[in-house]
Amino acid sequence: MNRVAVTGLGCISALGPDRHAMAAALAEGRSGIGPLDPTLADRLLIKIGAPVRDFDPAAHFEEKRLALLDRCAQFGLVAAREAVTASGFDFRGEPGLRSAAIIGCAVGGMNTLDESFLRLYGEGAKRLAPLTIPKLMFSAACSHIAMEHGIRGPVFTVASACASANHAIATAFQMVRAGAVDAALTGGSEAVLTFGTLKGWEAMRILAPDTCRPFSRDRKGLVIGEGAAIFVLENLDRAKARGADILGEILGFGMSADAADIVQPSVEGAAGAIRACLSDAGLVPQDFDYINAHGTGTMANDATETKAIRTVFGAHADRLAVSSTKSMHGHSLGSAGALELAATLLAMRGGFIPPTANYSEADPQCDLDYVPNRARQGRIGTALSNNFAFGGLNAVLAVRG
Amino acid sequence: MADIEGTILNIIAEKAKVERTGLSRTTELRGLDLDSLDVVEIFFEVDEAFDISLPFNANEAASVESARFKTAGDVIDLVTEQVALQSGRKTA
Repeated sequence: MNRVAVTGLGCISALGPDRHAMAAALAEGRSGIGPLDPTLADRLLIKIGAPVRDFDPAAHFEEKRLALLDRCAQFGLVAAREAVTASGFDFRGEPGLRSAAIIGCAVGGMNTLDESFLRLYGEGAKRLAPLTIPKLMFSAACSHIAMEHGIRGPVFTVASACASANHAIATAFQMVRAGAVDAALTGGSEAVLTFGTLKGWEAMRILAPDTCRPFSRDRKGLVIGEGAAIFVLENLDRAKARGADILGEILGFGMSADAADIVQPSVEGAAGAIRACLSDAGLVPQDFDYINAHGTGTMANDATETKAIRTVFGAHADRLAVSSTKSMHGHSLGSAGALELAATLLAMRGGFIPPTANYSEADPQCDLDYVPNRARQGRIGTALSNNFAFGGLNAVLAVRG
Repeated sequence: MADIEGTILNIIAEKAKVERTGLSRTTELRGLDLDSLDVVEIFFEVDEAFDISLPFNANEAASVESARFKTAGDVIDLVTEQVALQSGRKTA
């Protein structure tokens, strides 16, 4: 079995256009949550989100190509470029045959879908743009990333709602570890801040009207975000041999399903994925010092996740730092796990522990050390990154800096 | 406001799968067999019936100390208040 290194990282989110901006925001505990564009907010009850701001597609893509790219694919491509450049790994030519691109995406090209259906049903248009379908398909981001970098091995998208990115990263990790490929581009991309999508979320009545306050007693729900984070994974020995800058090592993953309820989370399901991850990585609770929690800011998730962590980590749970960076980059669904792995790796590199922003009040049901509001100086050695999804789909990664 | 009360009790009866005659303002919602999705659907049906947007967040309802919607009467009162408020806004 091969060891698997992360040699490149790229990201775009409410915390900024690249990894440097994200690292700075995390270290400052600065949240990217804020007002939505008035054209959206005017017709919504929930008027906040975590949007990618000041993004100019024309600065990244030629006009002709833009006609093919939903915002979701644009984010994925921008993050992938940054990751590949940072890694110094060239996928083109021979290496592309022995490489994978496996990207998480929960809902696909919603901007394209929303605009198209508005034209069709709302404005009575008789026809849609000819490239509507390849633009909105779930796998569009993944296909464009593979095309741009010449990746010709296993290329596919993973959809498991809010756990999509962790399932994707785990699958890519497994392929590199098993030797099925030598390298992979993996992560997640999502762009769901559209009127139609947000009306759907609004109807569930689980969006916070104020901000995202994970684990805080006065939490009122989640805040939808958008963005992408993409990683270059490589066989560790090969990465060392070429003198790559190694950001971290993926040690293992665990997956489980609650098989119980379409929205309510289960302690046993979450704990099962965490346990499976420790077992896959060959680690024990005492090996860990940080968990990047799923921490959505809903009543149900945060209490359940806390119990799951206590169930697996026992007394060591009180020695863990646990934070939810969704309090800063929002919940970007299919790319959430990727942004959270990025946050974890950037914090490891930066020598700090990212906080849970907007935390205001202790909740007896959430009694761990959530690193409230201010980042802490200190080295994270080994960490978990949790992702749990509607439908009870759980995926957990273990990583070492 | 009899028709607000009647409409809401009908909606609750339908979601809780109980006889409408067994429900009144004092019926405790926790005593009914409603899961979290039923509750969200009840609020959706009420919004639709009165063309309003009720300020209801499932997270607040789920918090232990929440006593805001203890009985059917609490929902009826909120809707009565919101119908007056939101219809006033529409004609203003």
